[in-house]
Amino acid sequence: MVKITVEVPESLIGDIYMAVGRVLQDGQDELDEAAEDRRDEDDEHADEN
Amino acid sequence: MSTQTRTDLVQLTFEVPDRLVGEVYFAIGLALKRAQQESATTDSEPELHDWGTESFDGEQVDMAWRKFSPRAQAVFSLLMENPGVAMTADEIAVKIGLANGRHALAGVVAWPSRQCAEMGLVAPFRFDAPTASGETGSYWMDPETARLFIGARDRALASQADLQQQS
Repeated sequence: MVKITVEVPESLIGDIYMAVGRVLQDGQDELDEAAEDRRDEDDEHADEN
Repeated sequence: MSTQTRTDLVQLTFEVPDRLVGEVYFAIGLALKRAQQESATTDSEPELHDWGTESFDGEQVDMAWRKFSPRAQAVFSLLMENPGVAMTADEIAVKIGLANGRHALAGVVAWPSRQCAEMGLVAPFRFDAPTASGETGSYWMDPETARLFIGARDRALASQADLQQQS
């Protein structure tokens, strides 16, 4: 994890939270999907064996 | 995440995974640029109005509710069942079960805000920015907006029940 600090106008705090939140959520979704794909592959290999 | 205020500028600190640093900076830059462009064209754009202030909001609310994702509907259900009550982002995230807490919540409500803006309306929630370092922002819904959206949710549920009975 990396700490990043940005200076933004007070009126845009909500927008910045939303923007960062979306990136983090998309990143988490990608990880979840990749984990699911790996599980599916493992299951397939297990079935083959 | 932490905040530090200096005149009208606020320092926000985010803890992000290494692999997403570039994307986070890009998203922040985009948000700042969009805000700059919006402020430049404010005069020519119609102002967004609050829910419940126009007679046709009752029809718009059904359309808005249908557009919201299931997660957004869950967040707004929590807020509208507690009208006027401010809840911290972390509190809502825990109650809804969002993995990334406050950041995930901000992402969940981002699209509804845009969808409402496209209809000329403000987002169905109010956001109070954090006032001190280490605090999170709070979300709440005013009673009139809550009344409208509870009606929309009830109509959507009734409509789903009808469809299930028919099939």
